Amino acid sequence: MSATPPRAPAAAPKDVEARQPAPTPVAFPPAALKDECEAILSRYPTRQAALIPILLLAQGHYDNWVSPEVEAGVAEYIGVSDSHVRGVLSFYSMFNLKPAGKHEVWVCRTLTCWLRGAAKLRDTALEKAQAERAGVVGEDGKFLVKNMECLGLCEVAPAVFVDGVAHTNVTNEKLVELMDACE
Amino acid sequence: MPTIKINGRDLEYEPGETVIQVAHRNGIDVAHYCYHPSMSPEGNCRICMVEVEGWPKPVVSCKQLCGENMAVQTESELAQSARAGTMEMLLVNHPLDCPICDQAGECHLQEYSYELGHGESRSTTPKTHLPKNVPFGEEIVYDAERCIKCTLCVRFCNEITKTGELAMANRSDNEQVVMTSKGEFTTNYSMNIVDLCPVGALTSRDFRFKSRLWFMDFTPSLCTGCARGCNVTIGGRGGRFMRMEPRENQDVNQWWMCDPGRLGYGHVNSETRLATPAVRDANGQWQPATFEQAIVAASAALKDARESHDVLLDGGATLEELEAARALASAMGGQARFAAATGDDADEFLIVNEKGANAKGAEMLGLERQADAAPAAVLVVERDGNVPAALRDGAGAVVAFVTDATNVPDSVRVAFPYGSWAERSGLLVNVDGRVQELRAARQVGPGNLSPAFALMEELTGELDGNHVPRDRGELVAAVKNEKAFAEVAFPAGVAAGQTVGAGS
Ligand code: SF4
Ligand code: SF4
Ligand code: FES
Ligand code: FES
Repeated sequence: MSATPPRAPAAAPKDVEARQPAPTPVAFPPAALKDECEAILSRYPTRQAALIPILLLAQGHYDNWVSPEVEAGVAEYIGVSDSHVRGVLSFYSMFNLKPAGKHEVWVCRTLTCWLRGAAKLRDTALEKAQAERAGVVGEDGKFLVKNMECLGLCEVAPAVFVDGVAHTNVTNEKLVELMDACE
Repeated sequence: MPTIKINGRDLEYEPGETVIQVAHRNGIDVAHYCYHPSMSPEGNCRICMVEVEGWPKPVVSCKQLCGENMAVQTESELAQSARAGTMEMLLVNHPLDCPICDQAGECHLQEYSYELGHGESRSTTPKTHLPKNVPFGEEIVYDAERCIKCTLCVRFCNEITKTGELAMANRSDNEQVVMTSKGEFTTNYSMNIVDLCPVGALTSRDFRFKSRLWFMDFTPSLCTGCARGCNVTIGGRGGRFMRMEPRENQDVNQWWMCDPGRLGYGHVNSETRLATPAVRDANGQWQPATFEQAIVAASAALKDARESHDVLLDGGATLEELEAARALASAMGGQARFAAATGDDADEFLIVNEKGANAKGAEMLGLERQADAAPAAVLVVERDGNVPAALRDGAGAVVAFVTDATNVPDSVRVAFPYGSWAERSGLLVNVDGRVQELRAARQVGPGNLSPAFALMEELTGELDGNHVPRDRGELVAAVKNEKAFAEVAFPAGVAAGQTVGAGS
């Protein structure tokens, strides 16, 4: 019994977006990652501190992207709310929140690279990937081109990463060559 | 104690205190958005920048610790231009939809913008577009475009309720607050983030678009949802209870209140409020009456009453009403009792199980708590939670003071309108034995209600020729003379025995 009379639930106002149903968390960690996850956790003073390495591990395991279900599973495993995990995932460019391509091309768009022709590199990459814009997987699903902030290679700009490998002083021709080499 | 100079004044500080804390404590206004005294400073909004003499750059006063020999200027040219620059940046992507924003009138962004801002934006880039109308739980709506990313709401859920529903997502001009995909708050205190939000990014579904603030009247009072007695400000307009917000009191509720308490005002705006006294005629039909007619009819009904001479009061009745009810009961030869609900929702924060807002006061005055139906001649009901139907209808009362006409049992012959807690003035003793003042809110309720304690005093006078009706000050003085109240502090003003407001 409460002294506060129950209030009629606020009618769902038309202008407020409907709530999306909550995703069903995956059982994390899957057997294949169990040992590695535990090893990572043992390196940090708190579970929360291990969030980024564990997310990287999870992304690698689940087809190079973190779905809402994986996000929720990791959140439960670490013991934080999934909004917190979303905050971390959406902050760092190396995480993919949508299905990724088979290969990833990162083009630096910070000042030094930009001055040394990175804009052209990005256009070339997008054209080869048949993608509309950076961050969207191309039509054939082969490439995901991403804009990145300074990759720490300004002295050998422009810099490009292809599948995690750094390439420097990249020219248009070299980029085409690199992308052609991808299976 | 070490001292710091702020605007030329030497001010003492405790080591570890920040510049803004010392400034605020000494009445020096320093603009701030992301700073709140209850939470760790984050220093992200940059509006609180001040100049420290001899330092090359302005510093954020909410994170800058005080130091010996520091001389701070809050209004120097450097400080002002730092603030103006911050304002300009904050407004680059702000939609400036004040005409349709609920926060307008109490928006810090609006205030400082008016004070420091340029009338026009120098930016020619189109504003970014972000999600609007995002539901945060059942009661809150988020607008990411208005949000200035101060993270107060996020820190509230992390540090105060420790439930962590919210987080900041994305970067730079895409940054926004996101909620857990579960979509529900697991705390009973979520709506405090609406008050915390310095802008109109978080709005309460209950209140949004209902009224412009400048058409409302605000009254400092109390919540009576439970015996904590959180200090609140009630906003009313044209007889309607519009909203309630917590008011700072470090000894009771700090800066907060619970969601059920905040929303528990449904009965105030009920369509079936009893607005005038009513008397049953010879045919048993209700007829409206003046207060004078009703007093005469009520005293006749009470003189006839055979079954009981007791008074049963709502556990939210004020000390003044309890004192008047005791006199009334003894004039009839009976006693006064009270009834109050007990919940099972107490937490470690504010909510307590005792729902009788003045149950403690009633106990201190020696009133018995009634759990089962028992006869009573006079009934006082505000919330049916406190006086459930079984007790109300089982009393066989002939005179009733009720907030809602639907709460008048069949046995009653004279009914007086009783103000809801928002329309009554008086003293309540909270769960910790603290006497606090309830104040009738302006522009709430049917209006023109005579205070119940005054009506009871008049009734007592009718029944007992020797009784001279007492005013509010005399009733308070009588309570203070009680042994149980000998050591108890009363709010200033009331303590002096003077009549504070005429009641509702
Ligand atoms: S919603 Fe309000 S309180 Fe929360 S970060 Fe935005 S401006 Fe700050
Ligand atoms: S804790 Fe009790 S007094 Fe405080 S707001 Fe909630 S119901 Fe009202
Ligand atoms: S700017 Fe491209 S690597 Fe630094
Ligand atoms: S109040 Fe100091 S930076 Fe926001």
